[in-house]
Amino acid sequence: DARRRHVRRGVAPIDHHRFTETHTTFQCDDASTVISIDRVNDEYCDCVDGSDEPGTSACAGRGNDRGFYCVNAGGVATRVPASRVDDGVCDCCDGSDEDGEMGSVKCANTCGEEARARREGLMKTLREATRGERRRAKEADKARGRREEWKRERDALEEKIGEKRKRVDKLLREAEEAEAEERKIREEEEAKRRTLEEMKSNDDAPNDDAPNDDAPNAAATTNGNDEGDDENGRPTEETTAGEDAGEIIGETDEERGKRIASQWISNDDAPPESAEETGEDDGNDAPIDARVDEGDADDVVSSGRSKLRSMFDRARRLLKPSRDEALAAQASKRRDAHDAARRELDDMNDKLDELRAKVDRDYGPDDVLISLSGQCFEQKIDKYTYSACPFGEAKQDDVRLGKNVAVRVDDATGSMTLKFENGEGCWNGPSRSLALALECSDENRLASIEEPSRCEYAGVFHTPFACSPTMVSNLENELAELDRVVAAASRDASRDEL
Amino acid sequence: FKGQDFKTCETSSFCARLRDGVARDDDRNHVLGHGVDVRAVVRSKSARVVELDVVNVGAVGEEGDARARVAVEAFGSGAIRVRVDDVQKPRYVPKDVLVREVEFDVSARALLAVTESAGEVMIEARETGARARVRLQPFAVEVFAPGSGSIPSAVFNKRGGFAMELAREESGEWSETFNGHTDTRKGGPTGVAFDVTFPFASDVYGIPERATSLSLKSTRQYESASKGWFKGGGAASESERNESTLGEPYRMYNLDVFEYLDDSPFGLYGSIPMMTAHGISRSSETITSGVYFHNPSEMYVDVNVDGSNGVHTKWMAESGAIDVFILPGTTPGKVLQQYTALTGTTSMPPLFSLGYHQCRWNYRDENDVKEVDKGFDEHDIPYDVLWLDIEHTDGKRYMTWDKAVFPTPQRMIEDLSSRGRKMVTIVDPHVKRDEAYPIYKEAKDKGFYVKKNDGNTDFDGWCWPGSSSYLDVTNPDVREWWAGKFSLNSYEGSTKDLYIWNDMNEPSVFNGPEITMQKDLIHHGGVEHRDVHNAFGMYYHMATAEGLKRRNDGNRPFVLSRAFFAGTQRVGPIWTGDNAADWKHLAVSLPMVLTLGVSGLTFSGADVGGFFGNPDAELMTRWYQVGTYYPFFRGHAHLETKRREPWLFGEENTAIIRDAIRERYALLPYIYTLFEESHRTGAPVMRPLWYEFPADADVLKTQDAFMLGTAMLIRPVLEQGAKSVSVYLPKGIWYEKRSGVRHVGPKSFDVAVSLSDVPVFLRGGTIFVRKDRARRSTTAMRGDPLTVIVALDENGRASGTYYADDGESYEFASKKSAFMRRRLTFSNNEFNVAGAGAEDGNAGDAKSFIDHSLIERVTVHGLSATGDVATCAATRDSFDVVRVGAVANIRRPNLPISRDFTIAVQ
Repeated sequence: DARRRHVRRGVAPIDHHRFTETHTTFQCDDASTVISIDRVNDEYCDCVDGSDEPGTSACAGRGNDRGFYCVNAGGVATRVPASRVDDGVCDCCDGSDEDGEMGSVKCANTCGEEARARREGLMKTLREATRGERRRAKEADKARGRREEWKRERDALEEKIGEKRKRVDKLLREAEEAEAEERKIREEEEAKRRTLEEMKSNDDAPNDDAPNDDAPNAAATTNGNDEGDDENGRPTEETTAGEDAGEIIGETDEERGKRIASQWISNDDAPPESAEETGEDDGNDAPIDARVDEGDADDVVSSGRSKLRSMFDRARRLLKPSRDEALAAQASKRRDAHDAARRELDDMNDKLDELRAKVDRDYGPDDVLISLSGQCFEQKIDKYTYSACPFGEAKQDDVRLGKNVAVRVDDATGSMTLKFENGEGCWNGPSRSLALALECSDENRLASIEEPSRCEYAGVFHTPFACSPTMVSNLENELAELDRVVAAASRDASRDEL
Repeated sequence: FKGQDFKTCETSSFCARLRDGVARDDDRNHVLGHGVDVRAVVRSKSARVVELDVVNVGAVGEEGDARARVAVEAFGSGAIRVRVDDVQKPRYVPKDVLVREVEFDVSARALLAVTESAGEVMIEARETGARARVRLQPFAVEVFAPGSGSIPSAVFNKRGGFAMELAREESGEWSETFNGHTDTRKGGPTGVAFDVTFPFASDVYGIPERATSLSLKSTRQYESASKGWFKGGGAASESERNESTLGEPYRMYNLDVFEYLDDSPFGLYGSIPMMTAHGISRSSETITSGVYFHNPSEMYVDVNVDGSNGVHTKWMAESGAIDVFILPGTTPGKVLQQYTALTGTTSMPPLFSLGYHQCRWNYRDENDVKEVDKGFDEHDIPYDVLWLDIEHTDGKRYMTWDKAVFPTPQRMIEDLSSRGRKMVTIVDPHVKRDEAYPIYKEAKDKGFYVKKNDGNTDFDGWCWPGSSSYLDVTNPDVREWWAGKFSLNSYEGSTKDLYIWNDMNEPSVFNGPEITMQKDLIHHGGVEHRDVHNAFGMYYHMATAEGLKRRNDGNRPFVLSRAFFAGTQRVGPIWTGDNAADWKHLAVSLPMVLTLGVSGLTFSGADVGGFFGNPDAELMTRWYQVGTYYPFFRGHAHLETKRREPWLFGEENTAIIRDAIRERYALLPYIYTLFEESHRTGAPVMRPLWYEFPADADVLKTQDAFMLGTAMLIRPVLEQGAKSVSVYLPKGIWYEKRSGVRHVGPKSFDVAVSLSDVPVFLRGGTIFVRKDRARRSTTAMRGDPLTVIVALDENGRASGTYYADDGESYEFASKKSAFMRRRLTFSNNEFNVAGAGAEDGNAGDAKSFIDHSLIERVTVHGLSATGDVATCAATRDSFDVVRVGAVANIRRPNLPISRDFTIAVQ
């Protein structure tokens, strides 16, 4: 009846025995006080812990808020904070939080729809997880032993490198001997030539190649400021603070604007809208964090030892005098042989470094992520194209977000996160970093990346390797539980009606 | 802070010239005073104004000599005005700063009784009894409060600091250069200066905005205690130098100061040239008086706290007239009443704007907005408004959206509205120079931009969007046009629940001198920027607020501004700009907000958490506990800071922050009542202790504690790692809010504090009303019942008021049925509710008023009756009296506060 419903408003069935209109008293949860049953849900907070008003907002913000219990017939029962009861907004899908004496809105029952939507969502997740788990298991089979394979490769390569190094040393000795021979002969000839020349002439004036380029420009920039003539004692004030004022002499208006703007934004030296400053407006706004292109300096390093060396070798050859052609050709041939072998050795060493890193790396529990090694994924999100290579590098367009240094596993949930660190530095701030959470799915896909805090990126990566048999069975259980709960809530509701 | 970007008195030529008051050898035809005494000659006397001429002493005759015209008038509201203008070339008159009556209405002026005697003219305002004695040689004006004895409230030109550089006819080269910027200053020097002495005062307050102490420190000492202004270079006596001085005068010039210091006389984003002086005599009488210098040009103020000689101040402005309103007082409340009668009182804020605001530079996209909004509900933390900073726009073209991240703004706002919440977007006064941007194009075609010093070409300055023009909001036509831009069909994606934030309106010009406009730029009517600078931001704020008011069918607008001037209180709130996540910035926010309050601009607050930098959990938590009491309560953060929504600092801190924000919401009925009082009388919402306890010499400099209205004293924790704080309670009975423990003041003691504690004391003799149910927003609280808090004095008495209206319209101003003001009293163990008496303002019409909120609880501190039943004779109901410790609660009377009744405790 109405009286019973009043007392039990917002109470979960499991607690109904305490909220019964035929009892004369009610004991607060914390047992500190016993009050008359009339004072339950009477819009006054009597219990210090707030337990006497489960169906009103009278205790909202006091004590231990257990929340208003929404029966949600046709859906899933939930609890909402006491602060939501009769506040003019429908929070329970059955609208039961808004039908008290203080309530002012009529809420439609949306529980059936919500439960259906939730069921559909759950079904979809389950389908994906099932497919994903199957794929993971298959790939795991393929990937089994990959680390061992890499180890074998590494060992073999180490051995080959040892041999190669011996050969390089030998070639170097030969080249040096040939060069020494060449040098000796050349020096002898040079000495001869010089004596000859000295004898021949003392005529030519010693017109050395004077360094007439770049004469030091001693003329100081004159300060062109000649205002402030104060002829007739007129109060012409000159309060130029000059160079001390931190102004940059000769700065244009625009440059000054940008410089001051950059105080607020640590955007290297670019103002927020730098791409637009030239005036032509192509509607292509520079993002607030438009960055200066730092060039390819890093690519040089990453492209390996051998490339650098061959550039160096070429330069050296060009500089080399070639007086005695025969001897020189001989020495040069030897040198080339050595250089070629040396380059091969460097390549092998690069390869070895890579292999060692691969072998030593953590691929998550049971090497579950090992198949992702060497793969990269790209996705356009908002204005940027992001790429992430698990166990490699992540980028936002050309900006490096960091290298994948670790797989973090949450102890409680077992969920995995790839941590990318030491990306491009933020001026006056940390280096960029990315935490990529792995979510179970039937395909590998970079799902989202955001920048919740400046330069600390967070994203989600969908992958079968985050799936597991447990996850599939958990989802199955969840689905069964949903069906069970929906049925129970409907039963409770119809019982309440009676 | 980059000091080299900004001028000092030394590098501001007018200040350097005028500060010392040293006589010059140059043409006395162009300078009045300035080291030479001036004499006044009565010119005319009429019923409401006395006019005099001022000439240099020693000038031969009046014809041909330099001269200025003085008008002395009095106002029915109490102020005495002394206005000095250049006879040859009248100075710029600021418009729309004073309220219309003061600006135009003769009947706002008091009728004068004038008596002339040897060497002086006595003027008495018939309605008020305020008097002014004009001394003719040297020229000086002494102002006396009604009924006061022989000590004047304030004396104009007691020290001979008067100076006026008169306009010149011949053209000349008057240019002035700073940091590579040349100010052509075609009109030549037009500086003005004067001094005001407060003979009784020990402390002066006001002249915001700066981050410094509440009681203003001396900037300079006199060479002589009796006469002259810093004259010569001679040695001062020991007694004159015994107080340290800042050296640099206080500056008022609205500037965008990057990373401002936490203790500096340097002027910040806004200026109010209004100062209050206060002193206590040996016989414990108190006198408070004030001065308002009605001039929006750049100015500096020297302060000299001079022991028994009172406080001397010297005011120096770059241009404009000397237009001084002396506010005779004699109480802090009366000074503010007299001041706000001139410049207006706080407009009634929409109720939602007193809730908590969540801001960040920047909430990135619609999903971010959704998640943050959801975060508040998930953590059961109330808030009312979510803010979007500059990144939400399409390339800093204000009133547009970056469609990549905000594709459906209207839907986003409507979603917030569905839970009773609002949104704010930023709109700044610089307009991106882009022909394809309709707002830019339209204003350009209409000639609505500020002009270069040639008077014809649009000024081009640099701000967020790059090259920009600036709307000339000093022009009423521009303001009218601008207001129209906020209509729903003009501002795409807006709804009636979208409100506005005006930033950068000092105006900030990144490549301008001192990061603002050149002083020789030309405004509407050929006015130079130097003449209007400090009011520019207010004009922009006014136009925006007017736009929102129109859009919402005449309901109350909400527009936050950074720049401000005298009169901004009529328009909307301001915040204290770009502070830092630093304990010192937290501490200085109190004197900053308190200073604004006693300068008429009570609706203000500091960014909770500090704008720059990353606050740790303790600082963040302590800042929220202070924010509870800021009249304007907003969390904000710089683009490059870590996220800091209230639930990101660990569970314990989340709980404490939740309590702090909930406490704000619980106090809203009281805070709203205080705002209405401020709207009616000018009294601040958040008050310095001296304002409430003017006779207590121990509180005149207190700035780590404050009053919320009359009823609560708050001593927040401002120190890192504090385990206890020292509290001083002035005379009277006090109750610790948390424990109910009773104290008898005056009393100093330490209170132990944990992270969750904010020492708050209820003042005996007061009553106020709370809404104690936690909710998610102000909208959701609308129908909630009330808790009445009664704190009894030593005689078992207390009183207070409660005001309510619809919280959004202006109907209260014209319809008695649209509001109610209730008087709540407690005496002889009886609690009484009735219509307010005339002394509290109009009672309204409680019977027809729509809000019949029930009183669910009356909480009484200090109750002597011991019975456990209370009865209402009128309804013959009886209620339980439930005691928790020393506090008694009358349980659930459930009587509407709109009804007259008495409840007696047995």
